[in-house]
Amino acid sequence: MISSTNFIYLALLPPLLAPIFIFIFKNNQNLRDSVGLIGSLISFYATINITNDLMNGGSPTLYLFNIFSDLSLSFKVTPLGAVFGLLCSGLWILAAIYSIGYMRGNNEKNQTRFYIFYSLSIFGALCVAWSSNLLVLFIFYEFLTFATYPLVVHKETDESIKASRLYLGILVGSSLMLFLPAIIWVWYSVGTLNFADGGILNNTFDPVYAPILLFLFVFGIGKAALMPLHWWLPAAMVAPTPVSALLHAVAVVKAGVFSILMVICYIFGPEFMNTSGSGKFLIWASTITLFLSSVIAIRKNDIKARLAYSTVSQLSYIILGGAIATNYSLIASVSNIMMHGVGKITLFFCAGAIYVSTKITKITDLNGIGHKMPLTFIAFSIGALSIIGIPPLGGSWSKFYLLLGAAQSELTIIIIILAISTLLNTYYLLDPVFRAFFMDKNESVKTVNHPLTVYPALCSAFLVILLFFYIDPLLQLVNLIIY
Amino acid sequence: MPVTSISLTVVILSLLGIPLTIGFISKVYLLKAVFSHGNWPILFIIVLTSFLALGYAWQMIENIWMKQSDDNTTLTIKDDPKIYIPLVVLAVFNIIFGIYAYPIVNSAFNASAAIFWKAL
Repeated sequence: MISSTNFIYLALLPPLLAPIFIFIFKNNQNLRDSVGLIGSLISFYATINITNDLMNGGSPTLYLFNIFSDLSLSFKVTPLGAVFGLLCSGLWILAAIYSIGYMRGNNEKNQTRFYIFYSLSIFGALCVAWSSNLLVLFIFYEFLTFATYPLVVHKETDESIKASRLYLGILVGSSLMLFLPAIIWVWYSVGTLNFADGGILNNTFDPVYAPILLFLFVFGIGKAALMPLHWWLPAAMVAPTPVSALLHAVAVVKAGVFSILMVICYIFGPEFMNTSGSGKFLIWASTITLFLSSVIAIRKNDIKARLAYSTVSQLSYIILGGAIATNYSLIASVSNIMMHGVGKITLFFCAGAIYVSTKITKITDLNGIGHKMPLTFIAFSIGALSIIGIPPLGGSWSKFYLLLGAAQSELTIIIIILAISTLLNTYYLLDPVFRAFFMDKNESVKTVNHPLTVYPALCSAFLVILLFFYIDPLLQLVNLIIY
Repeated sequence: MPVTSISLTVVILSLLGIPLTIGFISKVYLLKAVFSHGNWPILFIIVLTSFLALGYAWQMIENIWMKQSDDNTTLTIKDDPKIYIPLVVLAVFNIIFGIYAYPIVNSAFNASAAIFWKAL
């Protein structure tokens, strides 16, 4: 019987050590590309065991050593972290298969470098998920930014260098200027940074300053893409599609909203959030973001740009749930981390599959292509319908609970805006599907078959359906947060 | 020149105060000291400076690693392994003490305690 501490090692070591093997096997393509896949399988197996232990009442921890006299480099799996960990390591399996198909199908250069930093990014995301205090979270939050930088600049064209400058400037700039001072402020006034059930600010922090502190946190965590810090996400779309799929729809952006939820749940505590009234400005900031980004998404003709703005919008659904900070709204946030992650990776997989087979990047060029790539577009429709929130697909749960949470707090205007935003979602996500299936064919388009890019999309589409029926384990995990 | 480039990258990251380098540790202490003094203008300046540092230091990293297509000058690189030794040693220790900072911080504490004790 392996202890849960060793399972944490078993989950974290494959993505950390995989780069070494990738480098050793750099001249043997098949061997090199299978390293990531094997690592992801081991990592996922360990993550499932960790989650099981947590649900059976255990508390998986891993202590390494002290960084400061009162702060250690250690990991502790919280229910929230378990959800995020499962999402990252699970989807890494699909993404590992998909990247082989995509990188070979496109004949991309620098593939070894790509796989090395891809794996390191997953390591960063898992460490963020299981960090035991705010400082460890910050360390790996920054690690994740720098590990994804080479992936964003991958093509090394003027355009991608410019975009990656924006990427780094916003993410590192905001975290150094706002996030780090906020952490030090908490450390100075409370004396600890360890995550604790119910928060640590309760008795020691002056509620008058609480909204300012929360402001520093939510705008310091640029990865959550709250407007006006969302520019980096559309810019990051110059990266190859496997990066956009796993990192800029799942790992990186979810690390952002995850950090915000950790701050709300384990630093502020839901009770202090409501008694201090610090969430009020955040409710409006996230509502404005989710509405405006939906409006912008409609005007985008590039598939990946439209999906990026849709991600910005969905991230704000998650932040909104955290800002309301009631039982139902927190369930909505945590489940949307999972549901949006699986749904959006499906959409990006499809966008990449379309690009590899036809080189199409514009939505207006998709007319009639559904008959040539039926499987891809079926997967696309399932992912899109889930993000809109239509049952029986996973995404409907999170929308349902968010509306319940908003109703519980009597936020009528928010409910109306959510309804309008859903209408907009429906339009801009189903528009490509209608074009592909019901518009006249464009005979000049030639398609090349790349099965390795299509099947991962189908798998994640299947997962979207599965998650609607197997919501129970997820709800059990969330109940551990709220208790 | 991969060894030089990697070492330089590590040192630049340290200069920026990025986690997992020694620069981060000292930055944390600096910020903590500012908070305990409540000197807000200083905090603002520190925060602004770190953003400016990102701007000028990153330019170097981009120039080292990105291929310049319009640059036709051929550099002749004289390779002398001896010169790598201090570079690599410094870069490696920068990271080691950036992660396992406790011993260094502890001795720094003792040193400062000794100084202040003498001054009294």
